[in-house]
Amino acid sequence: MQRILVSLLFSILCLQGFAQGKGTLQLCTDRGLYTSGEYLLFKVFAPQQVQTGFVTLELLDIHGKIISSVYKKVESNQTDGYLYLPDSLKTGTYLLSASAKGNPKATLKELFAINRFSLLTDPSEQMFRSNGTEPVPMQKDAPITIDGMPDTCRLRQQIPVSIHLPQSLLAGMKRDLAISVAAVAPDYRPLAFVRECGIKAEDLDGYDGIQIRGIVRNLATGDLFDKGVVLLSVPDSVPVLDYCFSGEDGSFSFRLKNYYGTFPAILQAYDRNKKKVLKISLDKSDSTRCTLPAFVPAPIPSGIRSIAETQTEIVRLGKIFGNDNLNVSRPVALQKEYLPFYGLPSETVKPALFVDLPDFAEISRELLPGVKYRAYNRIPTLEILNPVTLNYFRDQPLLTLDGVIVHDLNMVRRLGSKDISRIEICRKERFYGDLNFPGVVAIFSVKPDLKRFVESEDLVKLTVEGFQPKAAWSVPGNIRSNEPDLRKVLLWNPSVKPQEVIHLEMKTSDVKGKYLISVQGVDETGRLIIKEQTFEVN
Amino acid sequence: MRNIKRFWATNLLLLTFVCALAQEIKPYDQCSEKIKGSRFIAYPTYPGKPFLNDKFMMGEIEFNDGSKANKIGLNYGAYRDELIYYNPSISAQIVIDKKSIKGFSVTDKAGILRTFVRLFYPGYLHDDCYFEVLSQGKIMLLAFRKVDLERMDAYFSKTGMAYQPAYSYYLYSPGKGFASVKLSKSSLLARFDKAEQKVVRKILRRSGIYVSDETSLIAAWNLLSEKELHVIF
Repeated sequence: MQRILVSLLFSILCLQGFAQGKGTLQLCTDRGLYTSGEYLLFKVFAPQQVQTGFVTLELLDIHGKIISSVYKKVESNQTDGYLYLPDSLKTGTYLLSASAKGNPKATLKELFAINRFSLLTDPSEQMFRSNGTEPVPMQKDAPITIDGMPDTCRLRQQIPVSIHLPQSLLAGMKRDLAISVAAVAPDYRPLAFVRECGIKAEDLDGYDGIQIRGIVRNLATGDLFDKGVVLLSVPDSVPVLDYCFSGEDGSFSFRLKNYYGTFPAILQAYDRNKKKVLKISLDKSDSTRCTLPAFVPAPIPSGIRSIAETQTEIVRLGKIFGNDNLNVSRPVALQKEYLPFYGLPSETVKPALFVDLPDFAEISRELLPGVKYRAYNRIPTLEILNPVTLNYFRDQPLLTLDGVIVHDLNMVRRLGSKDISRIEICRKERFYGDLNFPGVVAIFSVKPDLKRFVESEDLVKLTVEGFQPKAAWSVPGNIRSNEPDLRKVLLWNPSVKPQEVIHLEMKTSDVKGKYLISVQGVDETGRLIIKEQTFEVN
Repeated sequence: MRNIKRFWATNLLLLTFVCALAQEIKPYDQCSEKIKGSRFIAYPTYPGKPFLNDKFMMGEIEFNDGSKANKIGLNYGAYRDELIYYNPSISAQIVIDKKSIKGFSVTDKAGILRTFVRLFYPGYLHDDCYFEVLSQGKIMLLAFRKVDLERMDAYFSKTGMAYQPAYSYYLYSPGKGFASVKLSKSSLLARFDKAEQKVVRKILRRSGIYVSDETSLIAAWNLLSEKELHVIF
């Protein structure tokens, strides 16, 4: 019986150990000590068996408040990117969290940031250290050899380095290595640990898009509204519209798949029967859903104190000289052909090609075939002639201005020839998913301006944070001797293909101090493999 | 002995439980891309078959971004070369915008899955066309299932008009374009140069295929495509 129990226990432990490494997101950063106004560079290795479309990186304070966040698409189970540390960031301990939908655990890494406008002059000032109970599976001091790295280097010295990986390690490495060389405080080692992440059931309905969630209510009664139409418009050169119907609990959610960078969007909600006015409430969470560990006060390491002043000074000088080593690449547009959500227009009219007309009623009368816009007694009406039945459609056609749906026809009343660049007309009955439009009139203004749309209960303007585009940390080629080289990160390459010998070349900057060369990767079990070596630049 | 059995049973149970827990949660199969189109206008009523199928059959469409919408009622309107989709939630027959999709597949009455791709054929003046893929490969064998409304003898159609199939067949390579093929051996042979025509003849003779209809053309092409012979475009 005892033997059975021991075997069972052994099997459980084995399986747990195996599963632990495989299901953990592994997070690497270029360093652990930052100054506000700098970039934090990161690399994430996603677990092999979880097909997460993207990972969310959040910078949190010790109370769990989200300071900034980015979404990164995962390719070949890995991704890398950057986070800008705002200038206003207070001096203290922060956490960088990496989480992926469908992965119940998040990986958190501690970091210490110094505000560049305030120095660590108070000797009684303390920092907080977390006591993360579940450390990430990792192998420190892996059997990797770093050759050619002297213990001491001069300023602006070219250093060729070769990294040797043993065959036993190479065989299990399916993903890239992240190699960083950066200035560090030698007595500060940030911790990395794993925490439970409260993922709601609705989060698991899809992995591959950024969510915009909220609820709609009946404005008059305040009751949650079922089957309300919620529209999400993204004004662009090719207008984009997405829609969804609210559920019984009034909830709605959108998933944005292929959007990069920050862009404006407009949310609108309406009742299909056009009887009730709806109110949109967005689910904006500014605090993390991860359970955070307890933080205990600890003295600020002397290493951080000694370099704090120099570090902040370097960042300040860097801002003056405009030293920016981050090259952000523009993502390639996916849609090559012009195909707006209302389909290809049957007619396109450019009012500028004709005589100047003072308002939209005149434009529709003179230039738009089959479109009747009238504003008798200041009550505007819009109709489109159905080319099949040769009667006007009974319902009002879809009217858009710069890609955003317009419900109030008065909005376009004053638009004359000088304000409009082009008008697209679809005279057929159009369908977009479950929505149908009895004809479409799409107006594009000369100067698109979302200020024309006034925010109300049923119209919400948003600034959406899309996926972060790819970025590369580059080292300037030729810096003149009279120009300062203020790099604290001498090298950051998160996509080094593992091979037996890796040759690297780097150049020290004008910043003196202790540096750490760090080689980080992930083995076949998902365990983080680290090899570090310090050197000094003086 | 009983102890050993109990041990293995418990271990197996435990392993099954752990495996079930470790199952990957599959992404939610939802068509996030919305179908764009306009209302279908009925074809004039004449004898003949202007559609691929007599009624809407379950099918799948592939959007330009690679995402798919499956289990939707589709029918191919061969007369106007358009894909018609029935949306039950708004009870509407919708002609899907050609430019918004890469292709579609639909099951016919016999239960055979038929795949169509949208391609631009320079021979037709209008928009892109839907071609049925008869044989996949580096060089595809395609059929353009066109149906024409033609004048007919009054004995055949009282109205004097009827829908008549006017199918055409092509070999297609993404880099090289289209090469027309007819349902005959000589037309197929004309797609190869003199030296290779001998080999083609030999292959067809040995396999006993006589190209006279669509089935035999597909069979012949399937054999020839394995040999990777040079096709003249």
